[in-house]
Amino acid sequence: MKRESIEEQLIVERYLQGKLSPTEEAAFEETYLGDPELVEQLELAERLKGGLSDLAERGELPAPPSRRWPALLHSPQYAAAASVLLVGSLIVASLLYVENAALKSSVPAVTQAPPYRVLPLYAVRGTQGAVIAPADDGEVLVLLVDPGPAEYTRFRAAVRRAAEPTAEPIWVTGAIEPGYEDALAIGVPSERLPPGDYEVVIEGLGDDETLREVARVPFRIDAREP
Amino acid sequence: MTAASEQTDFEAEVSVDLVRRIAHGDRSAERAMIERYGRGLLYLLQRRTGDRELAKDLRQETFIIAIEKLRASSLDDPQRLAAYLRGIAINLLSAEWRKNKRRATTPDLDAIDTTADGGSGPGDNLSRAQVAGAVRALLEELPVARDREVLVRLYLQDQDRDAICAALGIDASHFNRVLFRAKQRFKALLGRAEGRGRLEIVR
Repeated sequence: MKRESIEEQLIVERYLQGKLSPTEEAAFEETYLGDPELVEQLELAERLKGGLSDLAERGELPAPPSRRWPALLHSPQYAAAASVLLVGSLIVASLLYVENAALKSSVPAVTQAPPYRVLPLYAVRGTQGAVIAPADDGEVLVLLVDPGPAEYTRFRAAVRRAAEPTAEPIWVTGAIEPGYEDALAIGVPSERLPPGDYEVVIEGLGDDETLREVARVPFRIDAREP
Repeated sequence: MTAASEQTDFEAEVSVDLVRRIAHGDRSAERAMIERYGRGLLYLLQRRTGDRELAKDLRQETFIIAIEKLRASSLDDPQRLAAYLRGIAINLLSAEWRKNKRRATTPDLDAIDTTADGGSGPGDNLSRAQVAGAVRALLEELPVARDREVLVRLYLQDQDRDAICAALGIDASHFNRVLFRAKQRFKALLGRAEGRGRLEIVR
């Protein structure tokens, strides 16, 4: 068995669950016999399973995510509250509309922010990375990149052409920190990303301001259809 | 899918080399075989028997039989040494051999255990309570209840990935990220509990 398929198909967990077919089980056992790292993963998963079981027996597992919302949504009290909220919202909205109309005539128009598109670039083993539709002029592509398992809290990101790894990057951020879903958000103007292959190089920023590469994520900007 | 088709080239090369060298009387190759396959064999046997001491006994028997056979002649398929060892181990399980049936003239039995148990993993020296403590710490570090639920459903309720993703409203990539980070963090917590400090999983 290839290591990539073992990870992708959750073979370790399925083996522990007893869900592999006899053929899969034999193949996996023959694989891990000669692979101490794989045995370590099995032992780790077993310990995690055992620890969770012990916590469950002692009643120390945290409560699951709340599932009360579906029932609550069907209650008369919710319906009444929703109705009051709706009427109140309409009243407030109409007042705000009138005020907004008055303001529009007295203040200059606000410059509209450029359009942006948020694009997760989570790397998938064995693939060439995400393929992104070509961007419109003036659009900002916000690349969400997972810095991976690293001990840093601040990072620097550089976007390079894949075919020119030693050339100057086409876009570099300052020190940034992970946000939503522990990902780094890197905004790049679309004109910097014509169709082609790129990679985002993530470097961890140490307390002494030294940089160390922690992740490299490829992606492609697709060409426009003629 | 067959085991042979999925075997890596590297494993096949190692197998062929070990089988050839053992057949030529290379004692270091016998030690290398024990070192390479010992931990995995013990895991397999312990998982099937639930008895670590019995598993160790059966592992010794497996290597004894394999070494005697390989010294005398090569395998029909020298690329599949792991499959051969597994076959011996499972046959021994079926026959339920005991210590007093081991042969007198054998390779150094103590050396087999010593050689095979050279490596160890995180948590090997921790008590059950300490492991549970590490799991508790891991759960406390997961800020999103949904991510904790991924672990509970996977490891306690034996649900598969698709069912978990459907129930929690997440996609497979998020599931994979949560699982990878949780396992890596758990390994670090076990290592810290053992006083080893942070460890890294080679991705």
